Amino acid sequence: MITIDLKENSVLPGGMRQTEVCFECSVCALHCIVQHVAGFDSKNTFVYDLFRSDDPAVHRALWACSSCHKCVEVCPQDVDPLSVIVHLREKGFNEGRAPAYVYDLVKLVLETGYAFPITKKTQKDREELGLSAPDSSAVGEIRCIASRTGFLEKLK
Amino acid sequence: MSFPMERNNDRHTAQHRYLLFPGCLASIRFPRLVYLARRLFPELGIEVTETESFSCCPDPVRLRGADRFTSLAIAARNLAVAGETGLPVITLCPSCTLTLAEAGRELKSDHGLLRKVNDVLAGCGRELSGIPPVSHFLKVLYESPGPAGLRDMVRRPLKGIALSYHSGCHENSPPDILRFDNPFNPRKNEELLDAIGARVVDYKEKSACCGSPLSLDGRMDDSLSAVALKVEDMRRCGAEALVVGCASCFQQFEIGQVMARRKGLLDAPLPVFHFIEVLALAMGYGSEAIDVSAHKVKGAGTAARLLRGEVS
Ligand code: SF4
Ligand code: SF4
Repeated sequence: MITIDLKENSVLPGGMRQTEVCFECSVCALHCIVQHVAGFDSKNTFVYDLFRSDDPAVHRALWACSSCHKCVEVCPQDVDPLSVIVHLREKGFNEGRAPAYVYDLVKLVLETGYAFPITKKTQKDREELGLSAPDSSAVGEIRCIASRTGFLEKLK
Repeated sequence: MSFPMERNNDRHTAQHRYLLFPGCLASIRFPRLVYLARRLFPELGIEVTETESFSCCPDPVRLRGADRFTSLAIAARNLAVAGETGLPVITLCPSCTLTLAEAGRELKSDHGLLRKVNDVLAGCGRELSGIPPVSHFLKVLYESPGPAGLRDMVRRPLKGIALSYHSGCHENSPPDILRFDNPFNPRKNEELLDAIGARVVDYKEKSACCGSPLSLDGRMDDSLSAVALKVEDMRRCGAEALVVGCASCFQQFEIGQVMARRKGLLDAPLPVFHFIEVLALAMGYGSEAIDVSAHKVKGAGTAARLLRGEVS
């Protein structure tokens, strides 16, 4: 059996030793959208490429995964690639090495309460349908939450 | 705000009350879905109440990736807002459903974590006590009125138009949290399409994703190849249009097909409908069921007529 040493094991919760039992069967790639990214195929799947990476927290496709969970459900070895991905994203983010659009999106949510920008078209479309303007009354509370968890501080 | 009950069939008199969680994308880019949900759901036995206090669920890829605990606490706040009404939550978006249902399950099973989250919420004027169930509207519809009940309720069945259903990433996975259908071969939403009079077209790439995470990650060409793969398969199998239950998949198929065509990656795009739109059409709504500006792919024949609000 091939064993894979994920370089970041020491910092993954519980060691994430399960990545070492991945035997590169490529089953997790069957339903994985990241396989559409140029350069991945059945011999070099996104998941092995990630597990073999020297610096997986900035792997080129780390943020392209939809968190669809299908790899978790099909893996015969119970590797749970998604929990590894989620952990690595957080690590990269904390180190300031996540893609710039991720920081922008996080800021947008904390500033407006929404993950998409409110445009003139939004306002016009809603008005025509008799819907009130998008409500931002949750912003104060979610900023309070982000401040209490230390997240706002990290974003500075 | 609550909405008056409208009934059109005595056999289904039970009204179920829910709190509507519309989600960012429908609220901001496709508000007609919210407008239709408010009007349609009560006609189907689902009375909806709304609150102005929700925030983004938050986004299960980027926000969750950035900081799991903050993301959980923001989801917990949304659950607390819902919990205060004592109502179960109905969503328009599978990803919001997953974020909230997963947070609910995590907090129910880990009291230490719930305490930690409540410590944070307490400083912001909230407390999570009761954790409400959260379901996507198609699951709610499947459970009641269900396919048979829905068949009795539709006023203007779709007359056999050939439709394929695209199941979004977070509609059925993980199954132990969402408790709906088999993620690898989902059938239930097709039963609902059949109930409103469509002819459901099966196809091979059913479990494939629409590719939206790739466009969000700036990988346009890779994302378009995912769109083309799926649409071509549906067309080959005989679909005249495709239906989605997720606003993000809707946006991806609309914009993605236009772009794939421009780049020569797709010959013949298929019109895309959100499930709420075809449901509204079958319930007798005309052109008001369709946001024309959101539909870039016009198609031909029956599908094109449906886009104009005509069922023929
Ligand atoms: S399915 Fe599991 S064992 Fe197989 S390649 Fe993927 S992670 Fe490794
Ligand atoms: S969760 Fe991510 S890695 Fe796993 S199959 Fe889905 S897209 Fe691929």
